[in-house]
Amino acid sequence: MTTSLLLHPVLPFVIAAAIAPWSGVAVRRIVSLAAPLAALALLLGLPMEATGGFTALGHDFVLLHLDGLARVYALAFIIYALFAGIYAWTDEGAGPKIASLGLSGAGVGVVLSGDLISLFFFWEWLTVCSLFLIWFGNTPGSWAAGFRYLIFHLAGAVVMLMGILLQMADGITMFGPMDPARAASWMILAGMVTNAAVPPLHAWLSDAYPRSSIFGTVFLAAFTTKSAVYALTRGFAGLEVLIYAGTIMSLFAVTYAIMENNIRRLLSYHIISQVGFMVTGVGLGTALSLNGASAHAFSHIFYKGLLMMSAGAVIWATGRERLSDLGQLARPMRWTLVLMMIGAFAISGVPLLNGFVSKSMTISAATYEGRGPIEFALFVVSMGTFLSVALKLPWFTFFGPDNGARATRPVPTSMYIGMGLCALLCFITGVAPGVTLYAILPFDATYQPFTAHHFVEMLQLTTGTALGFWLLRVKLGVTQPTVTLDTDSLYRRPLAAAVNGAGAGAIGFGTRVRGFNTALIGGGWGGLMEYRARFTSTPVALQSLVIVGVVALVGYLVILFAG
Amino acid sequence: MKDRVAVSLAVLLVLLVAVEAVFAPREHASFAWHVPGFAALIGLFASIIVVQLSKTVGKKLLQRPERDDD
Repeated sequence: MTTSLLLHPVLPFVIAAAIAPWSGVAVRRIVSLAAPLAALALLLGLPMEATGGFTALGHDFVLLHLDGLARVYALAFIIYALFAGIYAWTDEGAGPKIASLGLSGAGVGVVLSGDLISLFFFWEWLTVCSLFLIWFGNTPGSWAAGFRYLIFHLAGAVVMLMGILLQMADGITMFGPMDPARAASWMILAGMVTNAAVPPLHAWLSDAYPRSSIFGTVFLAAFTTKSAVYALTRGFAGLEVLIYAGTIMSLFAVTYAIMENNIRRLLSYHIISQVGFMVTGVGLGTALSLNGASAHAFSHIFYKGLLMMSAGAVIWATGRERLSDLGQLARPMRWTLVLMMIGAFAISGVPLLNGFVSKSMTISAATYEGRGPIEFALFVVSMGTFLSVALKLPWFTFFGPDNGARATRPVPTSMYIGMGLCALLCFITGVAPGVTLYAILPFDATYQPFTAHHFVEMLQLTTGTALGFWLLRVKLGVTQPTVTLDTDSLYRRPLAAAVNGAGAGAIGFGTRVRGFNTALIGGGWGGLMEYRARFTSTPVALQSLVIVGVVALVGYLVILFAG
Repeated sequence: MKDRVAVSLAVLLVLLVAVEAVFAPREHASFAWHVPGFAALIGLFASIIVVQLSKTVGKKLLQRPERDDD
């Protein structure tokens, strides 16, 4: 059914992002909530199979195609954008508001794209907005982490774009199931698994997300990896290699999380781990496992958002985010503790919360397919998740040794409301999945999570893990600040040396040849450094957004002509 | 008994295994480990193994003190 693009749910986000730079704080706050509300109204008003687009330069741009798979992700993205917007009410900067609105809109755009070029456009829009949210963090290392993020995602995008152009050269322009016999499909897959953070292409996530502001991280946690899971579901359902990739990434990340000291990095590793469940579900390729991947993505967006929000509340109140610097905050931050525990129990699959009704779908699908080792591994991951998120994280934040952390700044009501709404949704989905989550799942499969055995099994898993934690809690403690080396340590220093060396070489060369070259090369590098020094000011940041937008538009037109 | 928390958790775990065996057995045992108490064993022993493994590997290979450029 052809639909006007004026009814596209991305449009409110674009309008709000366009209004934000020219308005005051109050208007920015209002549009940041009005945009997701309007987008939700538009999405709910669209009929299934609604299609909208235009033809230009010989290409059919299908910017809007709504089906069951797209709807479940779009709903999650829009509702979460509203909750995160409420949480970030006190974030007054124009730049972060534009970037977070843009990121939300890009996520919705990815899942509603019907053709490959539109998909790629929104895909890169995600990268640009994420990059600025990282840079707007203004935390130590956010500038460098943003550049590493950019390099990673540009590399993935180039490979993905080549794959898309090769597909288009053979007349395949719509985004649908990909043929694994074609090299172009694997190139597109490479771009998707980069965004899904499948190891060894994962380090950008745990490197960059904790460097953003507490509000920025809350937005970053939801959109990029889940839109990649959506894309994998549509393009590569049933691809065998994804079963193993997903399971390995779950095991890998859950092990790293146990070693981690920084609370937001610990949770970032758990994004990778939980996305591993979804990737495994996509690889299994049955109706139940694909529903499981979609359901778990929906659940994950809210419980992970809640965990990131509560971690942000701790950082807001104490100014600290290392477990080795926290402890004894249960009394002054009791409501944050309660909300964090709801998120922690949800991610662990505890009964009556959303993780219980979504995570087990993938595990059951592995069982039904006779994938014993996969089922076993996912059980171990469930144990590891409960161990580090529901036991280690709250214990050393709220109960462990007193390391001098004090809640010196009250957590704003808006942050509590954002967390409370996420917690409420986790609970409602957990107790009534049949009329909420399961009712919108895209594939034809039935699943009953509320069996006596499933209840007892999860209680055994959590109780056994709690006993193991209690016996080993001293070992899990971190007495001094440490970092855990990941695959990014292979390229971080060489990359920094190469960039600095290239800059020094350019200046040296410019000095030697003097004249025009001096001005061009030396001046260019000096300008970049000056730009970096001034970057934290909002006007420069806004200019940067405009510049990146123009570059993206030019690139878009180039792609059009090439295609 | 000194450690009341550990004892309480252990008793609860045994009770949960008994409840599974008597009242809530698995409908279809697909794999050899589909026996009553499997989840309890995974929870207890896998947590101990994973903690020991990650701590050992972390200390020997992967963890180092923080630097300014981290």
